[in-house]
Amino acid sequence: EISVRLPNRHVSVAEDEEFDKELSKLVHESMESRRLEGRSQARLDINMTIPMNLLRTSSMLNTSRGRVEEQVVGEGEGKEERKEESGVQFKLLMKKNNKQTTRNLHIPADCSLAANTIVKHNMQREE
Amino acid sequence: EEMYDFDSREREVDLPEHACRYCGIHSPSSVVRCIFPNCRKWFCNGRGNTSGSHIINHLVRAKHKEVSLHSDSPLGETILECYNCGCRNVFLLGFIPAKTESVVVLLCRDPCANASGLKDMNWDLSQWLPLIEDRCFLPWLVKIPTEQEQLRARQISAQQINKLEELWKSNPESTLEDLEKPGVDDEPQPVMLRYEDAYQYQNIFGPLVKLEADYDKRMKESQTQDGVVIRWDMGLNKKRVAHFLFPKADNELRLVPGDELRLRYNGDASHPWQCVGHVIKLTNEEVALELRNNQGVPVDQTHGFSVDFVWKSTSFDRMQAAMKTFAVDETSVSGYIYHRLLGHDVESQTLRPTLPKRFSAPGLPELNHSQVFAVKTVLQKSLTLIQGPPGTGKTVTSASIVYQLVQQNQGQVLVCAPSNVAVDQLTEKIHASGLKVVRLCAKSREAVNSPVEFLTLHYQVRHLDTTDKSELHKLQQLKDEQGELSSADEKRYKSLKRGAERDVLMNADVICCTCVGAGDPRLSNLRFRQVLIDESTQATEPECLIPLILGAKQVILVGDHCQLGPVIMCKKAAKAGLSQSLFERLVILGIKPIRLQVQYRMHPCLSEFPSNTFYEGTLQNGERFRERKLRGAGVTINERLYKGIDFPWPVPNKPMFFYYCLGQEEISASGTSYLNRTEATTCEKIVTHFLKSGVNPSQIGVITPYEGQRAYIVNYMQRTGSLRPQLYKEIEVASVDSFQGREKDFIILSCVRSNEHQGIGFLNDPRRLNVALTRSRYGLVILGNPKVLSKQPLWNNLLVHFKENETLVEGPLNNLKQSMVQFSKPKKFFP
Ligand SMILES: [Zn+2]
Ligand SMILES: [Zn+2]
Ligand SMILES: [Zn+2]
Repeated sequence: EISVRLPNRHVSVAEDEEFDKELSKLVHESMESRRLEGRSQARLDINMTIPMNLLRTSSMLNTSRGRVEEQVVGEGEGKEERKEESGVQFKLLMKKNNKQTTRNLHIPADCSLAANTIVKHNMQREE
Repeated sequence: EEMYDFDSREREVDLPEHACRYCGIHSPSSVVRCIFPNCRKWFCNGRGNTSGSHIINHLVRAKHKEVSLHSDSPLGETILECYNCGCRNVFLLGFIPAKTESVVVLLCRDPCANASGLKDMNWDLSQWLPLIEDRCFLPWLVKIPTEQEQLRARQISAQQINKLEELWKSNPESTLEDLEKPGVDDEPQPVMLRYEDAYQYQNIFGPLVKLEADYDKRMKESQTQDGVVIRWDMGLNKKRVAHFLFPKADNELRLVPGDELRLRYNGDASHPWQCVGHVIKLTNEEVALELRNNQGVPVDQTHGFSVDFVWKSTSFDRMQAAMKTFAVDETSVSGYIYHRLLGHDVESQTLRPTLPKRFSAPGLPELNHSQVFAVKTVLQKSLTLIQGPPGTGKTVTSASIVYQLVQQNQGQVLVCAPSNVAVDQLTEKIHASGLKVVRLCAKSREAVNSPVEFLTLHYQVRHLDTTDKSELHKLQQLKDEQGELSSADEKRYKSLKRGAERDVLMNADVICCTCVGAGDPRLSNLRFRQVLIDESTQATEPECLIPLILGAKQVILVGDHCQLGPVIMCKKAAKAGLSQSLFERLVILGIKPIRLQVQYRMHPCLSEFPSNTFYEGTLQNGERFRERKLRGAGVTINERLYKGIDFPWPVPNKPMFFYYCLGQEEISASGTSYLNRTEATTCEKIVTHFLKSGVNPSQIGVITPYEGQRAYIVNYMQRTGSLRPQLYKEIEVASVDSFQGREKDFIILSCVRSNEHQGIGFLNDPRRLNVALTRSRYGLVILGNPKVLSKQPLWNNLLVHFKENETLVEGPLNNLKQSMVQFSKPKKFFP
């Protein structure tokens, strides 16, 4: 979990509570509108095949500690911001103008998606 | 290849366009753009001083839901959307990994990432990870700005964010600095009792109407629905009709027939399509939308449509125009009416007409003594207020007045009411008296079903059957067949139609329309000396003014200021007094309304408390039998009550009780309303008992002040009720406000609120209580917590009333016992 705490962070309880209410309302409404739609919805035509040609078959795992990920920071005093981060290089599958494409997406090790992949990868290696 | 039009707005110095509009942070990997059409602002994914990140704060506050990433961000310029269905609502999106490859994909929660939606074995649905976690975007998708960045950025508090978002609704380019400027937070000037002149009147009301208009616009335009599924149909007039579900949010937008919606289809990127249409029918949450234009409608598509509300300023424009006319045009109303409306002290004006021998009108029920008195008084005065408590025959009285006014031959009479339903009812009654009446509808409502369609202007024009109109007929037919006419024909058609409309209008004794409808250009050349406004206590003052400024010399306002007033959405405007009706102000100014005193609706035991509390004990109970006979029902109250309906009323001849429910109030799922499960359970039991004892579902109404409880009861009854779900479905469950003006044989009122420390909310308003108590003809059951409700003086009185009548009960429904519950001390004295 990432949380940035500022030293002067002023917490206004009333506003935050109201914000939480509004947020859950928005989520609820969004779900509700989907649910209603679902009632009359025919089966979706789902094409979710993974375009293997777009994926390089070489291992995309990079779980070694040494990988350097460049953080984008404001110019100036950002030099010591270079951070070492372990994680997994994923491909994000997208559609552009109805064509499948992928983009690289680095997901840090502490995220469940990456963590599970790492576990699986290690298991495979042990076998 | 992205298709955005970048508008060159004036930006704050030094900051790039993509800087967070709250704090100024602008590193491309930390910012996201809101792509709501009129917004397109950038925000960062940092929390700053608030609990949610700035972008989430914005999306929630503005109710926007779609975003795109910066072109210099790791993923490049990308709109976040469901890979499968294209849904762009970020509150529904999440990542799903492939089972074997290091591939992820964005999918919407329902239906695409749902086990039943996606049967593809390659993907691991169990790992769905929402895009928004702990009130910010996943930090590896949109970077959280570093601590240093956040410290260097502009510090903005949650309150400032709220204010800024408020400001953006009226001026999207406002900045944080604008918050400091004077005027932003100023309260509007409140309404007064008396005004020096019509200019002062306009200066007070103009800004209030503007506030309400701005609020209405913002609210309606934020109601975009995505992922709408369409069922296509074709109307008899060969116009395309789209059917779809339009879920209603808590107490916000209420669609009404005639509203304009824009339907969009973005599925085909090369041919995006959109078209505006009118709502012609509403059943539950299904909308029927008649499209304006049949061309290019993607009828082969059913999914992936969006719907926006098209806000129209017409009604507000007409109010403003009426106030202006009132001020600048000396002939807009008579001198007497002018001074009266402004609250000036003028000698009451008495007219000396020849009074008729009979005050009742042909074709309408015989009037009772207080109704006759009302009609007689109206004819002799230039300004009369008539107060019609529940069930006292307001509509018949109004129709009889109109009949007598027409007999005086002073020109055409204009009859208005704020709501279309009320206008239709009155039109029907006036027609029954044999007068020539025309019902003028807004053009957008012409396709809406109405019980008085044959009296509408558009119907009458279409069915004029004289030979000199035959050219119009031919052109009309051609237009119906082809959808459109050549421009020359169209011109000719329009001018012929205008002529025909004028003829029909001129030929009428009475013209009926809504108050706003009175501002219709088709009436602009007509003058009306006599104007009657029914339900005038539900209209705002500027709304009432619209029919009056067409030359009023004799004005009759009918209503009941002891029932609910006009609905004002903007709190500021309501607080400043826009929610006070003209009728109410005139009462405060000392004009005594004539009260209709005989009620025909309620069983005597049900009218007693409202009469004593709201009408100084003046309500008398009419003889129902005669009234029923007249309406063709021919059923007496006793027959209805005792034959076949076996219900355990605690006191046999008093069909009412207050049922002690010790339930907990809860905040509803939406976070904006309340519900009470115990009361819902009890409500279902009572409803089931009624149904089992032979009561028809249409005879039962359930009233509750809270939308959360309304939805819960509807759901609970259908799910849990022991009888067929369809039976429960036919029972109307609605808010107090939407039951105003209507009645049911049996009413169950669920009060919901049950807490020791907070107030009782909506129930505090005596006028709302009055409406709630006066909806039932034969039986009333109130579900509530007497301990809590008795803290409020008025409710305390009501509880004492039930106790004294031995109808305050508890225990199981088949063994009700008088409750010995102790009341709380009321907080302050009720006048
Ligand atoms: Zn926005
Ligand atoms: Zn920010
Ligand atoms: Zn989807």
